[in-house]
Amino acid sequence: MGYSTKIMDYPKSIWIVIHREADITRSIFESQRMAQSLGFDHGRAQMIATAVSELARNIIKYAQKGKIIITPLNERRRSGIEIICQDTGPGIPNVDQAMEDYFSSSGTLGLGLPGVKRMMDEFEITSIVNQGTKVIIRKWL
Amino acid sequence: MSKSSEIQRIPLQFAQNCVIASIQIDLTDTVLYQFRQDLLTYLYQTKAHGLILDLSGVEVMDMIEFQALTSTIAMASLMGAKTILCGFQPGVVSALVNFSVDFEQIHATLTLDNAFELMEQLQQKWLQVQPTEIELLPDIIEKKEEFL
Repeated sequence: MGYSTKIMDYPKSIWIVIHREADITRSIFESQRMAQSLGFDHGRAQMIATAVSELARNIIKYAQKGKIIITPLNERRRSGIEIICQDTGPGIPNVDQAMEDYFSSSGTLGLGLPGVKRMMDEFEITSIVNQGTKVIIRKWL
Repeated sequence: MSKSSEIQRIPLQFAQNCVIASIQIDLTDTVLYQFRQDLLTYLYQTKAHGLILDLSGVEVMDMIEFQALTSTIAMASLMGAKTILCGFQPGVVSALVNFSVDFEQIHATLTLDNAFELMEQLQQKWLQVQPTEIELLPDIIEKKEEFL
């Protein structure tokens, strides 16, 4: 019995389908809650939630719909949080350019993706034109 | 069902010739748009000299929300209102710095009391600065003539 309750207590990964504004709010809330339950302090949980908010907004803005998967990470020596943001949108033709400060294809400030990278410990982006974009971010405790 | 389509509104108050907006809810695009409309109308009605945005209730603010907020501040400044942001939370601040946002034009304080104090200083400074700026004008005109 003790074993089963332990599984219940441990947070599982959460899938959120993103296709309207309310889903952004939900992904912000869920990522912040997950981060705090894993032991991140309030300020760091807010930063993780901000990163998720930025990526969720990008999904709606460029791809209209996609999904966000929030997963708790538990390795032998360290634990953390991983967030995967995936869409099947137009893709980014030049990823290196998109990662530069002050570059934007849509007339905004263009500090979103580099900002997210600075906020997290690990940042991976893969994008294929006309197939979609996948961003994986991780932060360790 | 009609309740879910209702847009949440940010309450506005008028005190010491300033409009005070206390943002205690999540900022979505629709909320920000409604807030902008309400705020500009209220500024026009009250002829306020200042605007204080209390952001102590904001948990998460990303680039797009921040940009929407700064453009609202720019609109308020065109109506003659100086804006002070107050009560940023630690997580929000570190996120915004990571986005390397330009903070030079922004006045911020931690508490509402300090915001009122700074507002008073800014109003006085503004009144003092104005004549000197006008004095500078002939100099610029001369340089322009040289250039031509």
